[in-house]
Amino acid sequence: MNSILELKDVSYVYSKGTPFEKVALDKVNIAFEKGKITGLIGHTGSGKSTLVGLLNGLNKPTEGTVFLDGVDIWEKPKEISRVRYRVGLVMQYPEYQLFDETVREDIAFAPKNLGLDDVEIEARVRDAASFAGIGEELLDKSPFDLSGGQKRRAAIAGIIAMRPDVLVLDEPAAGLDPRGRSEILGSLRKYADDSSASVILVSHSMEDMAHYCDNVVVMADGRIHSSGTVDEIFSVAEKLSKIGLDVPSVSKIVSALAARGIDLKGKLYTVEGVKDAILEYIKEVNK
Amino acid sequence: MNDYIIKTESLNFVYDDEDSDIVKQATSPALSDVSLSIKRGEYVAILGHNGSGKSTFAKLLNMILTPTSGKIYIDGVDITSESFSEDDMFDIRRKIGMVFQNPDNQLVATVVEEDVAFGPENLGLPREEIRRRVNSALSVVGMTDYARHAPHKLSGGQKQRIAIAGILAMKPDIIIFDESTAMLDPMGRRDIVAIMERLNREEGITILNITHYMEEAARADRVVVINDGRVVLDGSARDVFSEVSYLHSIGLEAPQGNELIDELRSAGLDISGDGLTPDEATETLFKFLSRKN
Repeated sequence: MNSILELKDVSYVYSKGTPFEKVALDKVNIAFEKGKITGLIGHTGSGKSTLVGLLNGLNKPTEGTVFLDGVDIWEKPKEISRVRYRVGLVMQYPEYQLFDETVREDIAFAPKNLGLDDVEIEARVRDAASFAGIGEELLDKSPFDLSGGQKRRAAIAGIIAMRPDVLVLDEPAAGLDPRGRSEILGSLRKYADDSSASVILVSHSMEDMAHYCDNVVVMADGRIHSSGTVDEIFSVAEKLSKIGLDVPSVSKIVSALAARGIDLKGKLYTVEGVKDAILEYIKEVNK
Repeated sequence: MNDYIIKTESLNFVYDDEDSDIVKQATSPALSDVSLSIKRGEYVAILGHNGSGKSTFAKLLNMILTPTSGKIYIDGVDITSESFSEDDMFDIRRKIGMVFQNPDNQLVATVVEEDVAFGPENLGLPREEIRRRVNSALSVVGMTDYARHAPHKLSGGQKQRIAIAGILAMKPDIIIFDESTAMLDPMGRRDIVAIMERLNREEGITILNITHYMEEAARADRVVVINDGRVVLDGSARDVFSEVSYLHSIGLEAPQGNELIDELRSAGLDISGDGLTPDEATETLFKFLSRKN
């Protein structure tokens, strides 16, 4: 396995040593691979936000180690900010964090802080904008004149411009219409493929997870409930329902058909996959 | 009593040029020629992509925005007429409650029950009446146990429930949910939709649910689709969501069951029936596949 970011026996305890002590993460072991999109799911309170904070050093593990490229990120605590350039974090509703006069300046903010020269900065801004689907014509506009979806993409471009080895996004498609969702999530697929970065996607949308992720990690009660490829995780959809998570609607249809004796086979968690499975089923029956 | 609780005639709206936040819309009408009648007690979902004008419509109804031209009648009262006074406005606003997207932006007090009491207190009601309304509103949204909690410690879904209770305490005729479930997790979303439907069925409140979730919209009695400021589809959820390819062309989708059946039809299968809900899709597909057997 070609992992870039790895957590070993990581625990995180809030307000340790006080009556309010709460274990948010309990001995978590997990590795994120290069060039893959990993979906992180779990309902509110499952520990996934705490985990996200640990990935780029916003939170320091109470116990255990976070390795980036084999190096403990807390080895030199004073240099933790360097980790944040390599592990980019796009928080929820990042469009509220746009601030500069033009989209170009906004995207250039992080590369400038990296101390890069102007030519390199310009190249990175163009690259990042193109990854995020921000057209050339938008670069000189004020970020506040963009539509909601464009603002979201501009904010994501600002993080991509750092060329992070790991890109973590918390609900990047929340509140967007279906077209906006597929544009943003499609651009993440492209970034993972082209830059061989590891992309970590936190989302409640099982449909999006099933469609865009390679691997899925399910969190529950501060632990890893299960992890594996999209195939492995969504083929046991009932296990997800049991811990209060939604399964894609098509998976519900597939389970209900199975209960009535129609067993489909294949990628049974996307519309496309179920369509193929049904066509295959009919072929078999007609033989 | 008026049959139509909401009625608009040739409603047009153009954003102010000075409103720099929305410059893009300054040149094109955010709404054009919208004529829509909504009956008392209807449960309506409003769909449209980001920037389609659907939120503008909601803000016009609640007089957060003023139309450029056209008429709006709320419960028979013309809120766009010259003689419409500020007192009348107060009255209308009490009839229409709005729940917004961000649960953190809507609560004002430091204790849940005080937050819910905020509206009725401003109506100058007697103490006992306020108490009655707060208790009943909290019980309707299932938050009685949290009456003395601090709102900031609640989950997103719970905060939205408190926001709804605050509106219920005003005894509204209409509640508009403007993407109120967008920031919630699946459990929170289910809770809010369940409350919406209970308010509609049990209290007879007219519900307008503006949403991006097709499965949510499919539960409404009627679905109105707005694209580029115009009403382009208006009908039962069944009729609207059967237009799968048209919905795709304007950047929307249908519930996955309908999408699946539509794909299968495109692949040459002659399936009759719909898939508005997973149950219905199962039924439709089961019938079709067992006939094949």
